Amino acid sequence: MVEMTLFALLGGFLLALNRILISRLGMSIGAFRSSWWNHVVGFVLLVPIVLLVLAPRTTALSDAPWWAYMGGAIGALFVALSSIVIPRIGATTALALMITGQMTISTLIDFRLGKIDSPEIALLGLALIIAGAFIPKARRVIQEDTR
Amino acid sequence: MYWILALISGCLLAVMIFLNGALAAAIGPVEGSLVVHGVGLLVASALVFLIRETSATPGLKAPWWAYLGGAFGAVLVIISGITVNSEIGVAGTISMLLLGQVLAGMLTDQFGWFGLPRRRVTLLDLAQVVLVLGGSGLLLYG
Repeated sequence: MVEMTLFALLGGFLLALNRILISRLGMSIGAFRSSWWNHVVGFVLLVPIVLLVLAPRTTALSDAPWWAYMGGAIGALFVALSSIVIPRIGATTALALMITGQMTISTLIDFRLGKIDSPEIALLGLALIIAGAFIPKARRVIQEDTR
Repeated sequence: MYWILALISGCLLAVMIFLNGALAAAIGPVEGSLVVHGVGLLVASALVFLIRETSATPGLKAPWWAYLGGAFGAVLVIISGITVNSEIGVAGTISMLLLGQVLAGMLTDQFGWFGLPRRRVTLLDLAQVVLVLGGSGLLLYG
């Protein structure tokens, strides 16, 4: 459990690096082209790994239900939604709201899957994380007051 | 109005991590990441084709390393495919992804990496880490 927690934490660092580089690229070439580059580089990197390293263990694509293939489409859609929302309400507010949405839905999914033993404690944890998500927003309000 | 859109896109992100996890469970985490990027590439190509780009800054050249962001994304999707299917689940994975992002954001702010403006880490930043860490702890071990 601790290993998986640290592993996911490493994933968060990679996610931040990914977002920083892709948004820097987006500043130069635009959000949608930047999202395209994001997927091309990932795809080109993974093809040789799957073909060379994992070739003996061929898995049938039909092993997964059809809806499981929709994740990539949502990823590309997410980029489009962010570039609509962020310029209009600001990155801090947008991010806080996105985190609220993603933590609420993911807790619901885990609850449905029976991975949550105590809903009360999970709800408290959810509330703390959402409160944390709004701290950058609070900082901006304080900064504007003192200016 | 737009804040509802922001909430919805956050919800979509959680669904995405869940779907990618289901795919990883069925065909393997590396193969899953490949398919996720393949499908994403198709949709991104369609978006580039259909939507006129407005967010580009004319004359601003991107550094070469900015093009490599997708490599980190590829590894991230492999990792989340593994952890979502472990005992920490979707909420545990997303809360750790969040914490990792907050910490990485603090580091890049403090040292001004990637050409971002330097900003000193404040008490409020630390309060955010404590809240996200505490909340994740309750979600994971509660």
